[in-house]
Amino acid sequence: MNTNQPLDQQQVRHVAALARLRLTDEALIGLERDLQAILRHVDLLAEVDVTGVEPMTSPHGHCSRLHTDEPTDPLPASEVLGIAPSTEGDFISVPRVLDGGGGG
Amino acid sequence: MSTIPETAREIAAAVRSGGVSAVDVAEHYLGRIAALDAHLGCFQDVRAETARSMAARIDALIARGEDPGPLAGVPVALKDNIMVAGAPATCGSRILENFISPYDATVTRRLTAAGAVLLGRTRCDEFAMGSSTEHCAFGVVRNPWDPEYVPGGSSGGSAAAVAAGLVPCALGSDTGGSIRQPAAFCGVTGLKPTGGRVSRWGLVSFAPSMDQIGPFTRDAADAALLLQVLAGEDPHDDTSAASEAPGGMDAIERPLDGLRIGIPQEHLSDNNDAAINAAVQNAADVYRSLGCDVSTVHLETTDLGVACYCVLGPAEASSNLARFDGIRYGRRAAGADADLEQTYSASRSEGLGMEVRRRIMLGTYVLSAGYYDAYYTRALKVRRLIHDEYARLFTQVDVILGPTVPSPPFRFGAHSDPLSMYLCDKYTVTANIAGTCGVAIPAGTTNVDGSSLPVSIQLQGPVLGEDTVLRAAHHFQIATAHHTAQPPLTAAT
Repeated sequence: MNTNQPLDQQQVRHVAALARLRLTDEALIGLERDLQAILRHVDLLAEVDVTGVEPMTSPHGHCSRLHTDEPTDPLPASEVLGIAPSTEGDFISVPRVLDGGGGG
Repeated sequence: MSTIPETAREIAAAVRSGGVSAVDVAEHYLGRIAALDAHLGCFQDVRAETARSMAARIDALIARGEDPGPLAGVPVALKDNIMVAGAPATCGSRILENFISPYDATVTRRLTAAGAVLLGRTRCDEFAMGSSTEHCAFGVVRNPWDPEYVPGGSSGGSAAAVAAGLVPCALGSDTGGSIRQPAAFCGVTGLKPTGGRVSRWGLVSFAPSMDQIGPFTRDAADAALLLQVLAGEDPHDDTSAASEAPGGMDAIERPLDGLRIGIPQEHLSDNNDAAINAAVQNAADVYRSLGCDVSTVHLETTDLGVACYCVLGPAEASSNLARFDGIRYGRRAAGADADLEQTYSASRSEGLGMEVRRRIMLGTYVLSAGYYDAYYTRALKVRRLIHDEYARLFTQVDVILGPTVPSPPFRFGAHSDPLSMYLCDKYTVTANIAGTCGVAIPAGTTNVDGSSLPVSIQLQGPVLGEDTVLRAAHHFQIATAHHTAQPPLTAAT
C-alpha cells in the first residue's frame, strides 16, 4: 500500500456531515490540520508487511461467547422515559421525520 | 476517634473485627474530601448521605454478627463513566450533564455486595478520551504532587483522589492507558486487567475491544483484593471471561524465585526522560536481588501501537458515540425540534467537546467508503502482529518490565497538539490492542523545575496473567518504599 493522500477541507466537511457534527469554519480548519498530522503518523502502518495476516477485530477470543437466546427483563418503561429528553405519554417524542425533515 | 488505616485490606479487617466502624471510616474520608477537593477537583459528585447510610448498614451487619464481605466498610470512588443507579454519569461531557443512570454497572453491584461504601464519582476526560483530564467539561483535576501539573488521564480524578488520600481505592477505565498513565503521574498503583477479566456492563463504551475497568490503589496487595471482587463472568457481558478467579493475597505472596522478567529494548528509548529509564534499571536490580531472571528482550511492534490505536480507538468510538443524538437520553439541543437531522447535529455539536469530535471525525473517516481497507482493515492486521508478538514473548518471559510513560507529569496546556498527547500512551496502548494485562507502580520521584514528581514502572503480563504481575509488583513493594511516598500537599494536612 502506498502512503495515503492527505485529506482536504472538502473531505473534512463531508466527514463532519457523515458524523452529524455541525462545525464552524474555524473548527473545520483546525480539524483538517489535526487529522492530517494524526494520519501522517498512522501512515507508519502502511509500511508494515501484512501479507497473509488475518485482521483481528477483537482480542477477546479467549472469552467471547454467544449468549442464550432467552428474553430477560427490560428496564421498566418509567425508568427509560425518565431519562429521555422529551416524552409524550408513554412515548419518546422526536421531531417530525417525514414531512419537512432532513431526509432521515 | 480511632486511627483509620490507609489500605483497603486493613480498613476491611478493622471494620470486620469491630476495631473501627464503617461510619467513622466514611466520615474520615468525607472530611478529607471536604478539606482538600475544592482545590484538587477530583470529584464530580460526592454522595455523602448515601455513603453514610451504606456505612451505617455495614455497621448494622457487623452488630448482628454477619460478615459484610471482603471490602467491609472500604470507601471506593468510581470514575464518572461507570453507572450507579440513581446517580449521574456525566462521562465529563455536556451531553450527559443531566443524565441519571437507570441501573448499576456490574462492578458497582460487585463492590456493594462485597461491603464497599461508594463515596462518589470522579472526573475524567470526556468519554475517557485523553491523557491529562484537561478535556473534562466540568473542570480540570490537579495533580496532588504539584497543582500546576496534570494528573494524567483519562481517569485523572480517580488517580489523584487515591494519591491525595481522599479515598483508599477507586475504579477507572483503561482503553489505551487511562488507568496506568494517571496512576504513574499521581504515584499510585493502577491495574489494567486482561480484556474480558472484568465485566464492562454499565461502563459507558468508548472502544469495547480495548476498554477495561480496573482499580487504583495504594499498593499491589489492595489491587489483588479489588480484582478478586471485580473479576468474573457476567451474563450481561458476552466478552467477560469465565476463567478461574484471580488468586488474591495467596497468589501474590508466593516468592519470585526464578521469575523470568524481560525488559524490551524498544521501551528504553533515548527519548524517554532519563529518570524513567533509570527507574527501570533500578527495578531490574531489585528483581535480580529477589532471584528473578532479568533479560533484555524485544517488542519490535512498540512504535506501531499509537498508530494502530489512532485508527481502532476512533473507529470504535465513532460507532459507539453515534447513540448520543439527543433522542433517547442525554442533551437535546433547544429549538431543534423542527427537523430530525438538525436535532442530531445540533445536539451533538452543543454537547460534545473538541477532543471527542476530533476522534469521531477520525473514526468516521477511517471507516468511510474508500478508506476502510487502507486504514481500518490494515490496523486490524497490525493488531494481530502486535498480539502475536506479545504471545511469543510470553512464552519466553513471565513478565515484561518497562516504563509506564515516557515522561514525568507535564504542565497544563503542554500538549496542545493532539498527536503529542496520544504519544504519551506509547508504552501502555499495546496491552489494550493485544488484550493483555499490566500494572503501573510507583518507582520513585524526580525533580522537575523544583517539584518532586512521581516516576512509574509498568509490569505487563499475558492474558489472565494478573496474579503474576501483581505478585511481581507486591514483592517490589515489599523490597522498596516508593509506593509509600505521599504528595507534599496531603502530608502537610
